[in-house]
Amino acid sequence: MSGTLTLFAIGFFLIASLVYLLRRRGSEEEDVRWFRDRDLAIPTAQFEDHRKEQLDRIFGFEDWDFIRNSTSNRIQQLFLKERKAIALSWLSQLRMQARAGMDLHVARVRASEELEPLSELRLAIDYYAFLAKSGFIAVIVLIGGPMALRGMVGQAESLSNNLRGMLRAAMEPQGFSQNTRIR
Amino acid sequence: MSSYALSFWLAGIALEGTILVRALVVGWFKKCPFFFGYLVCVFVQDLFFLAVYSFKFKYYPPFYWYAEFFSLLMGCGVTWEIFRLILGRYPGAGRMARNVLAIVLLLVLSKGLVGAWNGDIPWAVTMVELERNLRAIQALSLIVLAVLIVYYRVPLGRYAKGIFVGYGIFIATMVVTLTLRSSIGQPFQAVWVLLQPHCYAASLGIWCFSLWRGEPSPVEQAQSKIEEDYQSLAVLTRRSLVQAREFLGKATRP
Repeated sequence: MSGTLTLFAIGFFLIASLVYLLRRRGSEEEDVRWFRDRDLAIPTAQFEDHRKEQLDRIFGFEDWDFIRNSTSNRIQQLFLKERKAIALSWLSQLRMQARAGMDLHVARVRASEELEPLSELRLAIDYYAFLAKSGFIAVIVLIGGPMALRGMVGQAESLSNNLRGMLRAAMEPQGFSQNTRIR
Repeated sequence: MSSYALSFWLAGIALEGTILVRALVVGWFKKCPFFFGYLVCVFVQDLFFLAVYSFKFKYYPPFYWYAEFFSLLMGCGVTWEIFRLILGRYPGAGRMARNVLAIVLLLVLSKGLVGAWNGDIPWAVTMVELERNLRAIQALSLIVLAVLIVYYRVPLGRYAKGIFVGYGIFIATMVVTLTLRSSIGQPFQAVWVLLQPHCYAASLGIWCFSLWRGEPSPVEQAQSKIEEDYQSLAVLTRRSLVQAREFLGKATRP
């Protein structure tokens, strides 16, 4: 019985994979240049200056304390609603940047003869773990609002710094290696 | 045979003939010798079987199974050719595919051997089961290929995509219908006889549609001139992801 179910699963999974491939947008044109067009730009200097302030604003206490003590319930709800939307948008952007960095990695290594399956496997696990964790945080923010993650201010900044470093390395081929060769 | 089944059979032969004539005109035989060799075999078999079915029906069942086994072996060549066609220009992804396939095949064979040794799972009692199992291995190979195409964002030309999707649909539906045939048994035979030609016709339709317009494969344009040092690339990306995940972990703690 389990053998029959396994065979059914194989058949249906293959059909599902093929349907997904057929529906995949732009799969016939995709190439490395696709990544250049995406919003992978390293944050500008102006953005750098305001980044910490933005994070403090999204996840910090000050604004919320002020709103809570001096405004009506309706304003408080409106504030929480807007902050939640901003926090979710910030997390979404972070995930998008991580995904773009990973896409760039696989686009570069897929043609490498030196590719090591075990390293790739570990990398894939790390990447999906990162996506899972950021998804988990998004769920917490969605349910409890941005104030549910009050300890996030410092860590969020570090996370942002870290991802920015990864993307900078990903965008600059020489940043990854001094050992490049023309085929 | 009903007139519907006969017309379906003839339509299949006509579609195969159309694809082969088009392949001759455009010169596809050189690009995919196994695939078109396979189609030639199926085309000749279909004509031969139509004659046997019409004039000497008693020879039809044994001939059918011999031919089916031959098609199965040719199909392994087609699977290999699909891998070559899609991953040929991506040795990294190709290497990954070989490794994953080796692991998958090792697991499948180990499970089969252990099952057969214990007497729980006979490898193949009938031709139906043997074909089902071998088609399932082909299906697993194609699943591995599909996963790697998505993960490594391997560009697919219309040409390669058509061959892959058409053959994949054929294999997947074969696995499902053969599993039903071997588990339900004779009562499913009537449905099987009706279902299998439709599944094959769907594949022929996909091949005919996607192969009709010959397009240069974008894969050729996608190749990067510079090969990065893999180790540095992988270590840096991984380190960044691990650190990013750790920071995310800290973010959840107040």
